[in-house]
This record gives sequence, structure tokens and C-alpha cells, in this order.
Amino acid sequence: MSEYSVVGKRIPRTDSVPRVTGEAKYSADLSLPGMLYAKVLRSPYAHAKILNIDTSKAERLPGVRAIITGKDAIPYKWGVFAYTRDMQLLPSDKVRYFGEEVAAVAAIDEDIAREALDLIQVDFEPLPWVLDAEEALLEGAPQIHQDKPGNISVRIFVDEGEVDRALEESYLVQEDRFSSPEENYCQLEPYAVLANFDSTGLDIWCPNAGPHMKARPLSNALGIPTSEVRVRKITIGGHGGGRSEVSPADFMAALLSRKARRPVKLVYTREENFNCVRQVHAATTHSRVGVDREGRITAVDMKVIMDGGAYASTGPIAASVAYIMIEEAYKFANFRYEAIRAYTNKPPRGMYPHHPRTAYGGLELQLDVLAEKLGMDPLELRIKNAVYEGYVTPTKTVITSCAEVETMIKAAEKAGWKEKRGALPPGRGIGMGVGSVISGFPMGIRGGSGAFVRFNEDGDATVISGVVDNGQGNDSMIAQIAAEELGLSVDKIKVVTADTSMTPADQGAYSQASTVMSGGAVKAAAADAKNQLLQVAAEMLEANPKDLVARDGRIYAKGSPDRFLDIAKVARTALSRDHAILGRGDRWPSADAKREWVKNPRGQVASAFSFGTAVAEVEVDRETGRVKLLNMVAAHDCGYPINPLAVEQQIQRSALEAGPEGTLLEKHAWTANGQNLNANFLDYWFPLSTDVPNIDPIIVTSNDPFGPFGAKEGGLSISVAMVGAVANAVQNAIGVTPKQLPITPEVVLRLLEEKEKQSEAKS
Amino acid sequence: MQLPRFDFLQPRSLQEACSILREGNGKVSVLAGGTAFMVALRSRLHTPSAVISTKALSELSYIREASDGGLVIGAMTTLEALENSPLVANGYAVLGQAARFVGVPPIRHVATVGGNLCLDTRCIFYNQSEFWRKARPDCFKLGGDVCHAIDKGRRCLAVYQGDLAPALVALGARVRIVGVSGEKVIPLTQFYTGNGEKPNVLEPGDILAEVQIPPSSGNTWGGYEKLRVREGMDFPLAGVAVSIKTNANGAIDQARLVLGAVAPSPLEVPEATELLVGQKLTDSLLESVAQKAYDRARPVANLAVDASYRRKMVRVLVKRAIGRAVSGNG
Ligand SMILES: Cc1cc2nc3c(=O)[nH]c(=O)nc-3n(C[C@H](O)[C@H](O)[C@H](O)COP(=O)(O)OP(=O)(O)OC[C@H]3O[C@@H](n4cnc5c(N)ncnc54)[C@H](O)[C@@H]3O)c2cc1C
Repeated sequence: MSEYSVVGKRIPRTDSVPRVTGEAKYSADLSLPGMLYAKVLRSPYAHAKILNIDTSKAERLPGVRAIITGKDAIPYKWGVFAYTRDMQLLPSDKVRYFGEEVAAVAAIDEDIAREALDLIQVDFEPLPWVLDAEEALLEGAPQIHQDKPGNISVRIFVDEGEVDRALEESYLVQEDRFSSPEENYCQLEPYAVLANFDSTGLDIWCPNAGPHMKARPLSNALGIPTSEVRVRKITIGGHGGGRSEVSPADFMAALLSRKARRPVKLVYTREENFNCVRQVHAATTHSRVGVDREGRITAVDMKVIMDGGAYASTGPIAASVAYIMIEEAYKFANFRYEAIRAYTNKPPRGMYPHHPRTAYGGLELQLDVLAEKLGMDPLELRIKNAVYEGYVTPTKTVITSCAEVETMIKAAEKAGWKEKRGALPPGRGIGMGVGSVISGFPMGIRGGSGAFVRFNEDGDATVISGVVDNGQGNDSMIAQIAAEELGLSVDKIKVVTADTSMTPADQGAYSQASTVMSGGAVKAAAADAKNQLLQVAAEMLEANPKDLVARDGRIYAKGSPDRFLDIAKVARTALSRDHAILGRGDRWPSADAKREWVKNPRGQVASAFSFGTAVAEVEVDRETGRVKLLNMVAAHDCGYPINPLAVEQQIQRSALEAGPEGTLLEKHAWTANGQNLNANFLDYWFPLSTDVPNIDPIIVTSNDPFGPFGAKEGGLSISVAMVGAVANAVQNAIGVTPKQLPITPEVVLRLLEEKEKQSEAKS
Repeated sequence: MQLPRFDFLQPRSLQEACSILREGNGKVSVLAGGTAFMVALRSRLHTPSAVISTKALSELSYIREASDGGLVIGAMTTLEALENSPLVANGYAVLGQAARFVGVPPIRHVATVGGNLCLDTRCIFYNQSEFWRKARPDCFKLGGDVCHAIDKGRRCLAVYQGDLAPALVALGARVRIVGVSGEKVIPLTQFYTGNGEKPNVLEPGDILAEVQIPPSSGNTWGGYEKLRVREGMDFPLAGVAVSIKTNANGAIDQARLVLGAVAPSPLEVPEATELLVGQKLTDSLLESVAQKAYDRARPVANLAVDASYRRKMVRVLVKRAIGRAVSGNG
């Protein structure tokens, strides 16, 4: 790929050094003159009516400057979609989960704010509650939202081809039920907000996955124009899906600031970050998969029940991702998928790149069982069922670029699959999983990204983009793209991003869209600026602008690099000729705008698709049931690696998130009254460095037609694929299918005991 | 979470520290490494009026050979010092192993032996934030009269989850306690009360000053095994310490087997001693010993994993700890 001089190079990300030295400032680090400190009063019930709130005593406490309750909120309900608006950002009628916001205080210090909470008198009328999704769907279950009978938050239904007939005619059908409790995002940065509401509007600093996606709901909830909500640039310590939406914390801090006429800072505790931001759905999946004699998948019939918690959040998307990933990972014509997302009295569950783990992870386990029954190598079975460029999925999405098979072959090769599968000593196992994810789905008028590029008088350039960097390196990514397009080195690019007061709108860091959408917009803006520059250079060189190239800080005619102009000189010349070089560009998804998650799940779903294969090796302690991960290999088709170093980091991060975290360790547990038992890092088993083995990342390319320089996304397919790989490795090691995730030692031991009992009964 | 407000006192001597503690009558606490204490403060499990700095106690940081040939370890000795000590490695291996199993290296760098032995008992319904705990009636350990872990439970069975104590009990250790009116030395087994609400015998004014371990002879072997889900950080969900002395014929002369993290105090298994002494180790003997330990262990549902799983694992850990001891790995 030597046609490029900047992209495709391994460079340290621009945010790495400031993050490591501590120079980077996070929201909680900020302070403004006169700033107040906020604390939140939370519900001690899983479900209760709020009858009355008396704040008078608390108001009299010296140092208290403002108190807000649901009465201070205008009757606006937040929802990602018009049909999912169910969450008042500070509730006034009732509370729907243990820990939900009831009131908030701003005071001159945190101790006073805390003390004031104890003085607020709330009369609750406790209501019957329900904590299990399947129970919530039963008749007579407590109703969580008045207008959502049966506690159905979202129902997704897809039925393409002839599933029943295909299953009947299949050579083998595998049927199982898989279940898993909820996971947490575990962002290292606990949620924090600084809000300053003055006569010009609101300035707000908070972790986010798209500043423009916060500004809109905040303007609605506060009743002010969007242009008066300035979500400002700030360093962010992790997202993972859990920073996707506006947070009640944003709203409360803003409202308190408006009321107190002072800046207000609200920093969540670790416990609040576990419970009161978003969690990852718990789910059960009932899955039937058929194959023919040759191992070709004939049909998939899946029913998923998701525990959505108290509010809809990103429900329609969350309930759809599983089937979209599955129909893009494997080729089969008959597909029925039903997902019911139920309301329960648990914290709301939000966006996660790849949930539920029971759906795609369960399918991967089933494919291995089928391969075994067919006497086939699971690798061979997967190659046989892989998709390809031009493939059309059951719901009518065309795969535009694809190197899925190559990821399978490369991962298997690196992991020593052929030598190891079937040849490992007892207690050891090796398994494979495959995943596919989408980039850039339609989001209506908010689905596009815009960018500006401006040349400065010393010849460097500033890129202005709405893209947000919440840890994945997006700022660095756009700098590299702009540098390549402009012919400058990366250090000559300054970026201004993620600030609604000055950057164009951007769809946000959802659906792995940043590279294809935001990166694409930056590339277009840079091309526009470059063309203006080439025009000036052409006059100076007396050449045709079409023959000129910008590269390595110089402009010259193709073929004669020795007769060049410094870009800095051209930029200055432009200014001296009364021409400021300002480029603009935007990018919109190349997807079917008429496709809708619930009403019309058909048509082109997204702009690009990435693919990955993971292989994991484990050792199972048959006496304790502990699974030790020995090695993880992950090959990801990223289209084209803008920064191979960053892509490898993303692949490794994904492997970590799916393997030790999602498949072996992470889960929440609850008391009967809906209290989260492990909202802390001691009892919530987030893997430690010692639980993570070597991870070999492999970059595979496919040059996507839509993404900038052929790029798609950095490695998320692996956070799907690795679940199957680790679960299958355990299945391979113990000879039983783990149907409950995560596969904790207790689960493994129970499986081994059951297996022993069965074989005793047989003999 | 914010720390509650308290005074920070810096007494100049151990005696002064004891007097302050005595006057405080339970409202003043000692801060050693702080790795357990700070967490408890943040979640308001303790709201002391004052906290005593460790300056006065710094003289208590040492590992020395005692006049009788045994080992004395000051209460302020860090676990890092313990795990790296050649004196400990040579003859008291079970202690070094147990120390290495505590938390993670940054914790062991500051955590002390005294703090580990004085660790409060833990329970998943108790080690929660103040907000969490307030949503239900106070349990026994909080001064109330219910148990949230066991339906109709009649006393507190919060778990003592320190890693060092089982190893030290297996070594026959004693502790020296300094108080306002002098000092006393008691066997470590008597230091623990078995009561989840108040796990040790320290009274206001007492400071645990030193651990004393009797001399070990050349052919003493030790082994510690711990049940945890992750490879670090986690408190023991069950622990087994064993110390075995063999004679020239390879038969067992002395043996002590101690369970950790299955009850409010370390639990000795005297039946194991009876079975082992005078015998050579065989698989079937090992099996019987493991069974005795299993019979003794009665964990209840008060930690993050299932109690029956913890109990089953006692059997496995016993075999492994003994195996580790006799293989000389210890
Ligand atoms: C994440 C994490 C993981 C942990 N994992 C483990 C583990 O695996 N195993 C384990 O055993 N522990 C573990 N701990 C608990 C703790 O770190 C250790 O037990 C440590 O040894 C405690 O020592 P310290 O010096 O930090 O005690 P501190 O926290 O300072 O004190 C603990 C208690 O002992 C009292 N105290 C301290 N010294 C004395 C004294 N000399 N006389 C009288 N009272 C005293 C204090 O007042 C306090 O009540 C963990 C803690 C954390 C935060």
C-alpha cells in the first residue's frame, strides 16, 4: 500500500501521551469559579409511586443552593425513537428501579450536599415489582409503564424464507436454550458532569458518544434551542455503548445550575456508574439451527427474550443487532428471529455492540455440535457457510466488501488449529467463533457527519469535525486521514472535535460509524481544501491542477517531484491573493432510509460490514471448574487499516471484552427486592491482567468501496467472534455444551457433574 | 465515595496510641496499611471520630528470629516484606504462600500483617454502600436483629476472609497484644471469637503488636491453597492451610489443617491431625482427610459464589494444599 504516505502507518495515537502523563483532563477534573457540588437522592425501592417530596428541611441547611425534584422537570420524556419515549430524566410519578433518581441537591461542598439528601423527606408507595424478563411478560405481572401493556418494550420480528419447511427437511437440527445475566460496561471513568447554565445557555462537559446526540434531548428537556446547548470537548474514559444516550446526570446538573445560577459538578460514585448509567441486557435465547448433509446451514429459528430494565433506551436497536450480525456472518436463506425486550424493575439496559451473547454465542456453540455430528471440522463448516462480496442477506442487505473466509483461514493458521483440534491433552480445548458487525446505519437527519478543513498561515491545517474520541482513537484517526489527503505529515494537523458550539453535526460513535462516516467527511473536506490549494499551486506552476499531487508537504506535477512547491508556501500565497482555504465535506450512510428496526426490517441496513474470526485455547480445571484462557487469536477484516497499531489495539480490546469478560467472568447478581449485589469491582468479576492471556491480532484487508481509503472499523467483529471461540473451546475441553454464560467455575463444575451422572446412568 | 469526616491523630508512642484508643472507646480506629479500612470508611461501615496514624506503630515493622529459634513478625510488617523474606521462606513456607495470595502486588506493598489479622468479617449483604444497606433493615452485624444471608438466621455468620490467619494457625502462632494496662500473648486461635459481629478479642485500647511463631524443624512442610475466581485481587472464597512435619521414615509426626473463609474465624480441623499423625500419606488417607475438612466446613450463602460450591472446593483445596506441602513445593 505504498501509494499512501500517512495512512497505513503505525503511529502512536495523539491522545496516548496526555492520557498516560495525566495531562488529559476528564470531566471530573474540571472546575469553574463558584462551582457547586451535586448529589443525587435515589430510590430505595425497585418500584414505587412518589406520593410527595418535602425538601423544606434540606433547603434550610446552610450551604445548600438548589434542590430539584421531578416537579422541576418539564413533562418531556426521553427516548431514542419517537415511539420509545418513556423516560422522564427526573421522574415525578414513580420510580422503576432500585437506585433511580428522585431528587438532587447542589451545595457549596460535597459533604453538605450529602447531608442535605438525608433531610429530604420522600413519601413512597411501594408497588409490586418484577425482576425477571420472562415473569414480566406473564399475565398479571406488575405493570411498569402505563401505556406498555404486558411490559413489552420492543418486539422485533423477522421471518424470511420458509423456516419450518427448511427445518423439517434438514438433515440435522440442533435445538437449545441459552441464558445469561446482565453485564456492565465498566468504563474506567465513572460518570461525571460539569454544567454551567447562564444567560447565554448551557455549557456542559460530560462523557459522551456524540456531543450532538446529547444536545438535542437536553434542549428538549430544558426547553431551550439546541444552539444554546453547548456540549463541550472533554477527554473521555471509555464508552463501550454505555455512553450512547443523554444521562439523567446531564439533565440534573444542568437544571441545578439553572436554578442555582452557578456552575454545578456532579460526579457519580462507582456504584452509581454500575447502576445508574446503563447496563447490558440479560437474555435468554431459544435457538434451532438446521444443516444439510454437507454442513450447509438451511435455516435458523431464534427467539430471544431480553431483560430491558426500566426504560426503552436503545431497545429497538439492541433487540435487532443479534439477528443482523448472524445473517451477515453466515449464508442461509431461511431465517426467523423474534426478540422481545421486556420491561423489568432493573436498571435500564442500553446499547452494546454485540448483544445478547446468548444469541450469536449460542449459535456458534450449536454449529460446533452440528459439525461434530456431521464428522466435520468446525473450520470447514464455517468456510462452507461464509458470506462473500455481493451476498444478499435474508432481510435484503448487500454485503459490499468481505474477507470473511480469509479471517477464518488466517486465524486458524496462526492458532495451530489443524494440529491442535482433536489432539490436545485432556482438559484442554480449542474453539473457534465468527462475527460480523455493521458500520453506519441510517439515523434520519442525524445520520450524517460534517467536517471543515482550514489552512493556517504557516501551512498546517486544522480539521473541525463533530466526531468524538471516547478512547478508541478517533481524533488520531481523522488527523491521519486529513494528513494523507492534504499531503501533510500528521503533526501538521490540529483537530477540533466534539464540541457542539463549533463543530458540525456528527452521528456519534455508534454502530462503528466513526471511520466510515466521520472519517469519510473529513476526507471529503480535506479533498475540497486540497483542490483549492492545487488551484493556487497550478497558477504558480503554470500547470493544470488535475496533474498536481500533494504529498509529503509538497505539491508537484505527477512524474516530476523535483519541481515542487512547499504546501506552506502555497497556503500563504493563497492568502496573499485574498483566498482563505476552507474545505468542507459531509458523509451520509449508504443504506436504505426506509428500513426501520421494528416496522420495516428489510433493505440495506448499513454502509459497510466487517468480519472476524477468533480462536481461543483453554485449560479446564476439572476439580474446581475454573477455565484458564491460554491463548487468543483474532483475525479481523477492517477494510483497510488507517493506523494498524490502533486496529490491533481495538482487536485486542474486543478479544478481552468478549473472551474473559463476556464469556467467562462478568455478570450481575440481584437480591429479591432488586438491589444489585455486586456493583463494585471486588464482587463484579472484571478480568485482571493476570486473567488475560496473550492475544494475537491479525489484520485482514478488503478495501471497502464506501469507507475512506477502503477502511471499515477497527476490530469490533472480534467482540462477537471471541464469545463463540471461548465458549467452543470450553465445549471442546469438557465435551458438554455450556448453555449458561458466563461460564464461571460453578457452571463448569455443574456441567461436569451432570455429565458424570449421565455416563454412570448409562453404564 | 467521600470519606466521612474524622480527626487524624499522630501519637508519638505505642502507649499513647493505646490510651487514645481506650479513651475513644470504640470511636477511634487504627489505620495500618489502610487497604481494608479505607474501603470500610468510604462505605461508612465505620464512622470513627478519630483515626490514629501509624507513625507511632512504625517500630512494629520487622521479621526476626526469636531467641527460641522461632520467628517474630511485627504487626506493621508489610505483606510484600513477608513474601520476600528468606526467614519466612526457610521453614514457614505456608505463610509466604498465603501472603503471596493476598490481593494484588500494589495492595501487598502497603498492607500489613496486623491489618490482615484484624480484618473485619465480610458478607455480601454487609460490604455495601450506605445507600444500599439503608434500603433494608439493619442486620446483626449492623446492630439489628435479622440476617439477610440466611433466612431466619439467628446470628451473624459473616466470613473472616484473611489469608494469613489460617497459615499462622497451622504454624501454631501466638499474638502479642499491647493494651493500656500492659501486654499479653495468646494463641492466635484464641484471638478469634467465631462471632461474625465482632471477629476478634481486641478491646478499645488494644493494639496487636506482634506475631510469634514457634521454631520449625528441618522437615516441616507447608501448603496454602485458596479458592478465587480471578487470578488476583479476590478475597479467598475458601482457603486451606496445612503444616506437616515428617520424621526420618517419612511418616507424619505433626500435622495441622486449618480452613479459612468458610466461617467467622479460621477453622481448625483436629480430625485431620488425628488421621494424619503416625501415617504415611496415601491417596485414600488424603481422601479421608479431605472428607473431614468438608464435614467441618459449613459456609453459608453470604459471598459472591454459591455456598455449596465453596464447601465442595474445600475438599479439593485440602488435597492440593497437602499435595503442595509434601511435594516440597511449599
Ligand atoms: C481489592 C482488595 C483485595 C483484597 N484482597 C485480599 C485478599 O485476597 N486476602 C486478604 O487477606 N485480604 C485482602 N484484602 C484486604 C486487605 O488488603 C488485607 O487484609 C490487608 O492485609 C489489610 O492490612 P492493612 O494494613 O491494609 O489494614 P488496614 O486496612 O489499615 O486495617 C484493617 C483493620 O485492622 C485494624 N488494624 C490494623 N492494624 C492493627 C493493629 N496493629 N492492631 C489492631 N488493629 C489493627 C484497623 O483498625 C482496621 O479495622 C483486600 C483488599 C482490597 C481493597
